[in-house]
Amino acid sequence: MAMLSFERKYRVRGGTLLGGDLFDFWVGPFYVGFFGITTIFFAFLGTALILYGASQGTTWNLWQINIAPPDLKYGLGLAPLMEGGLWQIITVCAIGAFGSWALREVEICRKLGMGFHVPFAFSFAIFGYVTLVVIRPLLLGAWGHGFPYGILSHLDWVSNVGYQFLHFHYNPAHMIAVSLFFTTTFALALHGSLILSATNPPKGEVVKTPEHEDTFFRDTIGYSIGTLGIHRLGLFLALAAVFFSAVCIVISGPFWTRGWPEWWGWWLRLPIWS
Amino acid sequence: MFDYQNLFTQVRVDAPSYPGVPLQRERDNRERLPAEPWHVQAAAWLGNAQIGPVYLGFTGIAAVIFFSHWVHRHWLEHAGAGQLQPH
Repeated sequence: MAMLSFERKYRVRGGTLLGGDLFDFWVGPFYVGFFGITTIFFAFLGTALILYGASQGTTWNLWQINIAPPDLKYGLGLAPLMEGGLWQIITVCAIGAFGSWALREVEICRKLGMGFHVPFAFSFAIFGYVTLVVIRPLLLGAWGHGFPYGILSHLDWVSNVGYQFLHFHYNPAHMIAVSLFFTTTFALALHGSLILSATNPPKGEVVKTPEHEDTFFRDTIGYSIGTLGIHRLGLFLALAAVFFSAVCIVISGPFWTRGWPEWWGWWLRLPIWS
Repeated sequence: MFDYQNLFTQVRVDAPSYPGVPLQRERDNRERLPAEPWHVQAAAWLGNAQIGPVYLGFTGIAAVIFFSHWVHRHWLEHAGAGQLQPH
């Protein structure tokens, strides 16, 4: 298989969490490992079940295919296959696949002697998904509170749940999450354009250095966070955005059941002006 | 191994101030203020400790003047008086 000349020395044995040397091999450019096997197993089974569910549904229209969670009457029990049971098994497969993928990343990090920042960051994405389909349904007492698996149906779910709280933008955690998402794209735009501007000088000039990058932002706003610092800031902003997204939905229902605008009553009732 | 998992700088480097890449006109270099930048050690937990110098120039000073004018008009005179009417 195609392998870059320097790549072979990074293909080191060991660092596995499970399975020892048994699955410690590559297929082409891909590391396999025990969790590569489980990733393929869960991803294949989950996808097959989605296709089966679609075949039993009313449409093959890609946008309208829908695999709904169980009715609320089933509570936290198992539902019949065609009445949400499929959704339950697919959810298990999804969590299995995402978790396996994260642990495969951990094994690759261990092989390379790197930090675990990538799987750590990915675990926040998994945490967001698990919050929606496991933690919040558990707190509310029914798997039916999970979101349906379908392109349009999951959008409808988001819209419906939003309107259940009258005006979801008044959710304080949602406010923080949205602000962090905006700040993340802002930081990435500044960072991306800065690096490209330093590496693409006018014709005939030499490529610029981190000193130029620092100087640009010091001249402009008086501070440059630095080459390493911007990546720390970016990781923090992105993970905080996902974390507060999970918080904003898990408090909607388990903590607050009325409209979110009403939550701000504490502000109006402050003794300063009331 | 967990030594490497920290988001924050384990050893905060305190480097000498860097005045910035020299500009073509000496006059522009002198306009970078303050001449001696601050070093805030708390900022070094995440990024660089050095704060400043900033280069304002003609457009930067114009921006400061117009921004302070807006702050004064909008927030001090109207919002502060309880009659918020955006201009």
